Amino acid sequence: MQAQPARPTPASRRRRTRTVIGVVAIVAILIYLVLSSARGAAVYYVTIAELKSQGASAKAVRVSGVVQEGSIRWDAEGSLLRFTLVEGTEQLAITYHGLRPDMLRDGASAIVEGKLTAPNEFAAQTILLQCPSKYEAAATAQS
Amino acid sequence: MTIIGYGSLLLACGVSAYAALALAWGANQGAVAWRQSGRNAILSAAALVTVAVAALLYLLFARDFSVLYVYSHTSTRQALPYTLSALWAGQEGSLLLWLWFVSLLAALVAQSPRLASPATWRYTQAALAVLQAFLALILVTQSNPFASLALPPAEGLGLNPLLENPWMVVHPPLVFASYALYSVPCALALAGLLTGHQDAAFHRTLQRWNLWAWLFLGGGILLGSLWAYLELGWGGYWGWDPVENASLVPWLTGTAALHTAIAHRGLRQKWTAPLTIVTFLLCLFAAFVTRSGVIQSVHAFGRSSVGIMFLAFIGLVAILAAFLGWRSRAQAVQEAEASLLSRETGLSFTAMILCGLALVILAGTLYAPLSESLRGAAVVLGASFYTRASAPLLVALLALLGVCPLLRWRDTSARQLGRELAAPLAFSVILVILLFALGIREPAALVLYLIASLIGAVILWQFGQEAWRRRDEGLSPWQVIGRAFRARRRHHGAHLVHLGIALIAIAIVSSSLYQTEQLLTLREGQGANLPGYTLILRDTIQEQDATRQRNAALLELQSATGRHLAYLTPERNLHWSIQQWVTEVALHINLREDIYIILGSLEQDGAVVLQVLRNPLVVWLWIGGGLLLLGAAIVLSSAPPERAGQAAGGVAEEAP
Repeated sequence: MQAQPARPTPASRRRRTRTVIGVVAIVAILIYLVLSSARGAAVYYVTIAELKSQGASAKAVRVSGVVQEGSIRWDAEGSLLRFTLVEGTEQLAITYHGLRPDMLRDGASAIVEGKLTAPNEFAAQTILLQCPSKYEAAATAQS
Repeated sequence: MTIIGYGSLLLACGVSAYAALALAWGANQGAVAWRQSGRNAILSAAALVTVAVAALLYLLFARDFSVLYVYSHTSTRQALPYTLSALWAGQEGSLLLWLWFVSLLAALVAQSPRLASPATWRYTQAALAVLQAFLALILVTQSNPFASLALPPAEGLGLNPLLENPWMVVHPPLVFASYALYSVPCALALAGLLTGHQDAAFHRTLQRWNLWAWLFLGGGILLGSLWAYLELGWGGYWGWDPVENASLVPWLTGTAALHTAIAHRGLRQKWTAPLTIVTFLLCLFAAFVTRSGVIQSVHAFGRSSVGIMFLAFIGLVAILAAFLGWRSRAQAVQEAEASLLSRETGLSFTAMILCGLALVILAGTLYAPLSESLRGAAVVLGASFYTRASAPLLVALLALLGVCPLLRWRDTSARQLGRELAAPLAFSVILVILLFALGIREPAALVLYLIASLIGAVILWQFGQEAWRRRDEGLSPWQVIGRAFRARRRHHGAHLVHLGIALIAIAIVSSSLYQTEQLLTLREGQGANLPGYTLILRDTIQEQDATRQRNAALLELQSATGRHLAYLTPERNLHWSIQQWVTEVALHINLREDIYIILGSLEQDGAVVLQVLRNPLVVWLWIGGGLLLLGAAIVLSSAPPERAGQAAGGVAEEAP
């Protein structure tokens, strides 16, 4: 197609208006979709102290810390895992129903996602463990 | 050998830069000697990069652990195919592989007959030379695969056992090949914007390269998710991980570019070139995400300055493209008035929704890092974001896909559409009523089954009618079908792609809404009843060898009536090289569902903890994916339309 001097005709101007309205509408829909979905799906990081002061909530959060030495209790029959997460001076008891994550050991850095069910009882849905591998920043254990 | 490798990379960088200048100057001034010299430079750069690849391969196979890259990715215990795949297991090697693909393609373009207007074709070659010089520059300055160690260790670290999977051998080269392939249509599109010569041949060439790249990227994504499903052991195939998203986004915009190019009598193709450029930039962005570790991800290779260079290059190309696009805005593109109910409108909407999906996924991927840097609040977006945000767009897209084959160019009357839609729609509605009666009550599932089955029904109904018209005495039904297919290969190839999409949609909906999970603790000889199956623990295995400590459970899967179906051995092995547990899942695959078994632990008292997932219809994801790739390959294998006056270049260039 050779370059032709574009002369706006009424038809092309009408089409341009229609295009602009269409694009604006689509962008608005997309922004609404992103924001409304993000509000429901965003999971925030909190410290153990913040979590305890907030108390039990229906919304899942993420807490990070270190697995306390000797705190891991694993019940194979019920597939129930318990351990204590330490962050500074604060402690949090974690329960997790599922497979025992491969890299869970004393002193491992862990991120748990879940909800506070009692003042010092956190039911984890996901446990992420920092892993020394060069490939993975974290390995997942999902339930 | 390291000197040969590094030296040839250094030379390749200089020669490519020279080629870019010589070709651009030659194209600008019409100087034949410069153009010839630039072409020779491109060919020698390709030869030099090939030497570098050969040198690295030699070092890998010779297990020369004095080279850092070889030490990090191979060991003497490694099987041969994985030594080869070590070439693309790390950042340096995969960048080198990418550069190699780009240089081979640049050589191919330089040698092949002109496929666009002369000036456009010359600038295309110059643009490819620029990319080649950029990638070589990164390799020689930031990411040298030939860097050596002062004290060579006796043994290498070896490949991460997670990457020791046949699909993982093929997945990265496919993805990098597609990134390289997208550089050609992008270079062509930039050249087209620069010269303003966007004729029929230009669009045909653009579409063909776009389709090749799309095929490779699609195959790469598919194999990547197959690998995740088989190897990562969490029961899914797609985790909405930033790296996965980053490769999906260009595939979506690339799909949009393909659809904008489908046009009747050469109209409405003005969006193909910009979308192609955007797609390639998103490929570069995907490389940036994978390589920089800016967005935390299970695939990231760790932080490096390579990311900054990629970001700078993306910015420069984007600014150049925006400037060229702005400059050429005055070129009026002839547009035909098409009614709302027409194939033109259908295709435009398809492209727009695909771009919308790409934007939503991109927004989700960037949400966490942006929120962290702007608001200081550390946050992650759960996978539910993607399902919520993309579901309305996907439903609209699939519905459009169902109706689109029935729309005619320019205008379709509602009455005609209704008449042709009646039979397939009746089929889909009856199917959904049946499913409802069988107990499927999830509204999302019912809606998607309706739409997906409509896509299939419309395509097969149309094809059936076509075949019926071709029926002939003395021909078997298969011959009739074959003839009808061959008569319009490109058209039916494209429909095969759409059938694949319908199957993929059904598989994704079913496996994500109806996955069930059970935790079992079994002792030897003990069985557990799953609905429809019995799972019995026959034996446990614990042994050690040079690479790992192996823990496995031998399970027997029986049907509900006690018939033997399969022996399954899920494993959980401690690999010495990385001091890490690696889970090997056991799978029983059939057309209805996958039984996916993860070994949790072998306890001291002989108990075995297992996680059993039942993933319905997952196998149809791979079948649909195969169909999609086959369809695209069929379209590519048939000659592009070159009839005079038919200035298309579209995938489906039929006129009703």
